[in-house]
Amino acid sequence: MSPRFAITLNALALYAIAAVLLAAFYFQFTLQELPCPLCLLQRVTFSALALGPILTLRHGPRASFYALTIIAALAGAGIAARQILLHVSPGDPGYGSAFLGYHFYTWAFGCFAVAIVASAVALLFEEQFEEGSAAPQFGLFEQAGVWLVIALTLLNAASAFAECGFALCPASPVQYELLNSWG
Amino acid sequence: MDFSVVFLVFAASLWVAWRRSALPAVYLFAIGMVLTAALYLHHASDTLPLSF
Repeated sequence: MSPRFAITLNALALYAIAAVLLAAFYFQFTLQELPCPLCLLQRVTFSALALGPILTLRHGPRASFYALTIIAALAGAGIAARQILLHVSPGDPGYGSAFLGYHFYTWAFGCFAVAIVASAVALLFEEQFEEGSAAPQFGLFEQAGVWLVIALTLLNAASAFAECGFALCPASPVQYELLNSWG
Repeated sequence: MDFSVVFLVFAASLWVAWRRSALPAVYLFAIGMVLTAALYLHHASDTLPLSF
């Protein structure tokens, strides 16, 4: 795998992360379902996943950047697994709506698992790490991916602020606390 | 408020990674991960209303 190809794959990873964050927003507003604390933590770790690809785009491929992705994905997978186990009892309908038969935290666990495996597979291709071979050249495609993920992370900060207000987030949110305090 | 802060820390980490150097971005990433772990531990002991 050439450094250029690795950079393109990392840009595509940014778009995949952005797609997940956009889908979470879409279902939050169309289904009128507030994300629970564990759901928000999974969104946080999706944002954290983006650091490795952004550093790869900016400085060229390095093994340590893939390590950051794996660390963030392991944290996200752990949080998603905790939520799956909370609702694993027979008869428990789970938290929130399901999509294609699986709840969103189950989908999130799958996405984090894919990120871990993809990073591990990418580490197998050592030619991308050759000295001096990775002069990063990024165009509109790469820049748009970076700014999209940063913008979605900031939008999540605003959404969480509207949901929780100035206090700590409630364990089981039922309304947008900030909007309610103004209303 | 707590989650907004963590999102902002990671947004700052991503921005620094893109516009500045790698090491400060990694430091911000580490701070964000510590805050994430703290929030997880805080909410891991939440009382769960039975959903069935």
